[in-house]
Order: sequence, then structure tokens, then C-alpha cells
Amino acid sequence: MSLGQGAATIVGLFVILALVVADVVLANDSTSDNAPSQIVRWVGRYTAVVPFGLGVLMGHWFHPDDAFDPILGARSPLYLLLIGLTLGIVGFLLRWHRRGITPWPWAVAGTVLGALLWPV
Amino acid sequence: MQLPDNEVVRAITRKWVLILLTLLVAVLIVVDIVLATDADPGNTWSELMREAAKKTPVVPWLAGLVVGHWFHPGDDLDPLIDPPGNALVLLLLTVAVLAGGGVVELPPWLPLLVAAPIGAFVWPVGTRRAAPEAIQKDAA
Repeated sequence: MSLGQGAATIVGLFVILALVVADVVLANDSTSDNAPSQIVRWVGRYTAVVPFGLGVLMGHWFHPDDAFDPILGARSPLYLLLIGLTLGIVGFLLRWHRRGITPWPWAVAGTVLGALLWPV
Repeated sequence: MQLPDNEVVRAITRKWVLILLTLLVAVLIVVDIVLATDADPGNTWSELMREAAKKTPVVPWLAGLVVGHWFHPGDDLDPLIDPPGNALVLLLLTVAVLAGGGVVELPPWLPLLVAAPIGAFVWPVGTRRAAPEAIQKDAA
């Protein structure tokens, strides 16, 4: 493993561990529902952009094959950005921020599209 | 019953957690773009992360657990194993995956795909259902 790969792993681990520690501390304080996980879940229930965006990152980093090229060419990441913007607008028009949505299909869709349109 | 100042604390914490998470993602994206446009190929954080994920499954495994933890199906989902047993199971599974990753080279997508449902059903997060608007009214 190169220095850069080691640094990337350590940064990734640090971010996840910081989230877990903050989660444990804030989940056990006197204020309910203020842990980062609870907040992300809560936000993800009212806008598809958050689960979709995190899914995109997962697909971007951990897609199945190094030989993958973006299926819509060099502009594919731009299309992905447009899809994200459209999701935000559609969600606002359909009042998802009041009615609520099921977040997991958006995370799955983001992962698939991240792998197809923006594979690293 | 919640004390009024609890809602204030919750609103402040929520705001700062969202600001920090947004900043984190923004910094990662900016660093990636800067590195993608320099003279050295293959040195962006995303490329390094992917290469590192082929060497050790730790990050895709933990990322899968966290994604499943956050975006599990159903708001009333209880963990399949009651706490603190679920934490012990997750710890043991993590140790097993890391040990396995040291022996066999796992493709990066595999730990993510396996960990996400485990995170969802063994470690689902629970939180309030109220819409943002309702919470603002509560706070007022």
C-alpha cells in the first residue's frame, strides 16, 4: 500500500470513527434525537438528495470493475449532477419535505448510478 | 416530555452536524477536483481510496454498515439482535472481515454489498418522525 493509499484509508477510517464516537456520545446525552446518525436518517426521510448523494459516492468508489467507463461518456458526471438537482426540485414540488419518503431506494439508486455514470 | 431547551439544543446540534457533514463532503470534492486536474495521474482521494479498498476491506465494510444503519427500510425496525449483543456481533464480523481481507483479496464492492443489509437489520438507527415544519412549530 502506497503512502497516498494509506493516507486515504486513514482519512476514511477517521471520518467513520469520528461519526461513530459522536453518535455514541450524543445518543447518550440528555437531548434525544441529536446524534449524527439520527439527524442523517431524519434528513434523509424528507429529501432524497442525501441518501442519493451518499449512494453515488459509494458507487463512485466501490463499483465492480476497474475497466468501467462512464456509460454516457465524459459528460456522465454532469448528468449525475443534473439528476441530483432534478431530484431536489421534484422533491420540493411533491412536498417530500412535508410528507416524507422512504430513503433506502434512493440510496440504492444513487449507488447504481454512481457506479454507471461516475466510476473512479 | 421534552424540556423546551432540549429542542433548542437539538436544533443547534442538528444544524452543526449538518454543516460539518456538508463541509466534509465539500472539502473532499474540492480536493478531488484539484488533484484530478494536476499533472500526477491517479492521485485523487477517490482513486487512492479505491486502490486502498482493494488492499483492505475496512473502509467499504464500515461504509456499508453506516449506510445500512442510516437508510434501513421501515421506521420502526428493531435490531435483529438486541443491544448490546448487536454491537458485539458487528465487532466480531468486522474482525472476521478484516482477517479475511488479509488472506484473500476482496473486490471493493463485496464488503459494501454484504455490510449494508447487516447494518440495516442488526444496527438500524431510530429517530423521531416529525417533519421539519412540525419540529419548528414544537420549538416555537
